[in-house]
Amino acid sequence: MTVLARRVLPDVAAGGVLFAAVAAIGLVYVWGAGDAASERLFTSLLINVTVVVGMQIFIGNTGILSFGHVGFGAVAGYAFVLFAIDTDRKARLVPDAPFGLVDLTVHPAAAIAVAVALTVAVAAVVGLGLVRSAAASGAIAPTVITLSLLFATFELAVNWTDLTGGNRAGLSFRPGTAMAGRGYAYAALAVALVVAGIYRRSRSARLARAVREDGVAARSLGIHPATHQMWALLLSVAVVAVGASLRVWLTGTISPERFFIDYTLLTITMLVVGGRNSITGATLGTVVITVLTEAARVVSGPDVDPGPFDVILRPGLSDLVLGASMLGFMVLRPRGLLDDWELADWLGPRLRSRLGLPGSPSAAPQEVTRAVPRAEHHRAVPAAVQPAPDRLAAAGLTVDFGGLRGLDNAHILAHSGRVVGLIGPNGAGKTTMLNAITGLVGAQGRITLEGQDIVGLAPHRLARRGLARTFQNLRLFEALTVQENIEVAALAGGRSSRQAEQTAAGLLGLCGIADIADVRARALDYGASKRLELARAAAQAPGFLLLDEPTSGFSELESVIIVDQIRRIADVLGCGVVVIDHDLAFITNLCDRVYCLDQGSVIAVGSPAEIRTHPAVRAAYLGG
Amino acid sequence: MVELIQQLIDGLGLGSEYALLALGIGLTFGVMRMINFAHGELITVSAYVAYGLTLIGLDWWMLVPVIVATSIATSVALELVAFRWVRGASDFAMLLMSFGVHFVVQAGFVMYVSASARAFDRPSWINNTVSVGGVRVEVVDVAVIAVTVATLLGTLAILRRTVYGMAIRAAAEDFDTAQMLGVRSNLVIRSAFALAGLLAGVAAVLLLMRTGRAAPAAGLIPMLKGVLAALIGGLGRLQGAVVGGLVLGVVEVQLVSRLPDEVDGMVNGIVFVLIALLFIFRPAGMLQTAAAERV
Repeated sequence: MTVLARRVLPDVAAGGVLFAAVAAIGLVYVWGAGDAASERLFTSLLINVTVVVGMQIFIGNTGILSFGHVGFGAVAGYAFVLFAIDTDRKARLVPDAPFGLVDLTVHPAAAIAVAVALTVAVAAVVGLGLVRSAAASGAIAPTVITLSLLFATFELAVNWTDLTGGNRAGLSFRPGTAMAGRGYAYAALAVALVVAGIYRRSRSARLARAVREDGVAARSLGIHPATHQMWALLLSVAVVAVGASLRVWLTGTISPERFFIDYTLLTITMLVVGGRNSITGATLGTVVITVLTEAARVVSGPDVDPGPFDVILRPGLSDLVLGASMLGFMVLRPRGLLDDWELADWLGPRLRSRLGLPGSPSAAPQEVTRAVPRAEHHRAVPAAVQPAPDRLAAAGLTVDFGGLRGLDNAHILAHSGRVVGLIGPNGAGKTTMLNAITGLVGAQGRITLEGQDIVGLAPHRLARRGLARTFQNLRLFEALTVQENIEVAALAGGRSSRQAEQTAAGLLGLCGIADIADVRARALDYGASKRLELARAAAQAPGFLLLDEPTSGFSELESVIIVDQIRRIADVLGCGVVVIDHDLAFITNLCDRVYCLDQGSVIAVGSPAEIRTHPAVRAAYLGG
Repeated sequence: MVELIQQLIDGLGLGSEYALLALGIGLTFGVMRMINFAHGELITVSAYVAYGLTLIGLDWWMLVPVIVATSIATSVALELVAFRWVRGASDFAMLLMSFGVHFVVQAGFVMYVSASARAFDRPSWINNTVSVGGVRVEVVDVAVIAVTVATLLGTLAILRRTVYGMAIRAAAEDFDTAQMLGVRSNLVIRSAFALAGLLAGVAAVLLLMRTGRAAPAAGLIPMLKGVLAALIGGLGRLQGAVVGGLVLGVVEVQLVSRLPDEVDGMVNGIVFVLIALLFIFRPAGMLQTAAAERV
């Protein structure tokens, strides 16, 4: 078996199981009820799972709530129907259709392909605004944009009557052939589940999830959020487009209302009730909500005598059930029934042991040198042109926060293989200096890495040039496991999945967190979180490791351990270290050279011993 | 020139409604970091109240205070029964919470009133116009602009001069710090919702006088415009919300008058697309660059 096949085996198997489960539930129901209505419900279940799994690809992996996917569905649905219906019908329904569409008919399967291509093209344009606004203002602006686009597609469908037949007429597909599409619906569902599973395991999806968990930390690892969000969007829209086309094919009709707010509410509720972060959750949620709304529809329909329950059993109940499920879940279980539990993750180890396949590769701590190669390929400087020393230098560094000067003409110099300390009282500008160097705040002055000017470069570009950092207030990817946190950093640094696994195995041992490799980061205690953050930064194989108070909140004993770990990481990686701390004793043990900052300026530089006795330092610390 | 002035007044009239809604959305965003997709429900509820009261023959002048009071009460009530439970939750949960509230309220009207729209009488003077130096101005536009200016000045006074207002502004700047300084979160959040309700109530009066229509989804489009106006102005900036609303109104009226008749029905759609484009080039809104995230 090839490596690739082995890697995606659990995902394919999980897709198969989910597909079989949905099909079995539907077929048993159809067999039991035995009427045309149950057939229709089963068909819509197949299609809705496809659509919701498609939405999960984007919403789950990026954490951006999109109301626009049904709008993309509308584009796909109309594209499909305009290519698929026969010319007679078209001449009757939309005689003035533009682009010569009236005389054009292709097989429905080919029409699906056309619809997917068109919709993905539209999504590529829309996505540009989406991911840019996501980068600038978090998850809110993109959500509003997608909602606007849903309305825009609706209005377009209502008003472009030459193309769509408008609001009332709608476009109808040949009835009678509708069931011919059932086989495609099965196939589409199976493919959607497997594709979503394989994508989920991909490098891009893992980096997208890192961005979802913490955008700032992700950028500091060298991840460019927009790229991965865009891939997620395009794949997601492609799957939704297939589902939407089938929805038109199998129900035999399309009108603007069919791909608007109601369907958006339905699919979003399905996704969040099941658990938006999981494909299994998306599938489960679709089944649960289908059952609930169908039950609500039946009991509030004309065939049931409401009796004394007239107050509640009336038309509109299924919308109320949907809205109320959404509210209930947001209050009681905001991450849905399954949260991020995934069938493939559960199946993986069981399948491997059953088939006798090797598990994840492991590496002993001493192998970390090989597993964590130095990031030579990140260095852009041709050695022959400029024999640049391995150094990070900043001079004349000034940062203004409105009227407040955070850094004032500060400087620092760090060499590979050496540990530089940065001390100073609260508010001295230590973290600001790190933020300025790593591109998180704008600064004036000169910062060079290996002789190249790096002022003004985006955080993710600096990370790719070999700057790694930790944060004072811990920015882990909370929903990812300890091992995944480290792997993501290695992936972001350009390593392959296999190398990333080896890197993680090595660093887990080196940082003493191997026994909690499968624990999610949000469940870690403070000390373990700090060690994980150190391991994650080291996994980038940086040229320089910038640590913001690695011992804050630690006991003396823990501090001694972490000093040892930092030294070993620095030795193994051969990188330079810049470390911020308050604790003079800690700095003395760790550092070769110490800078003392006060009120944004460097007031003293020297060996730890010199710094301890420096009058300016004593004054700053003791107020004397 | 005359036409341009007319359009400008039209646009400011429309924009005034958006500004009132956007300011309310901005206020509640300030204290909760939640975009309230259920803000339009204040208009929907007000519309049904107006419908009910005109049925029993109440005059418009008496409707006005009732509508405003209804809107305030609804706003505070929604906070009490719904939004309170997602305070401090993720953006995702809060967005969906307010989205869900919208649907529950809408389903309620479908179930207990009617799925179809109900029309009611508009004030008799609504289509009157006056001529000022050759410019034909609709009375309602003048009224809308005047009422909006008065309301905004009143809101400004509340925010600047009263303890509640200062607490809201402080909380909008930095909720945690405000709380540590002793600002009571319940009080601030509820004051913000009440104030947002007041503004939406005024907007509802202005809107309903024009449309004379109540429907389960009546508040949806106005809500969306308000949210977009708030985004255009830069979320969390209260003046920005007002400016965003006015700009949106003026642009919309310009589009209506300039676009060919065939696409008249698509003005909203075109506006939405323009705004989506705006965010490609100004991802943080028109006026503001995003405040640096604290790291």
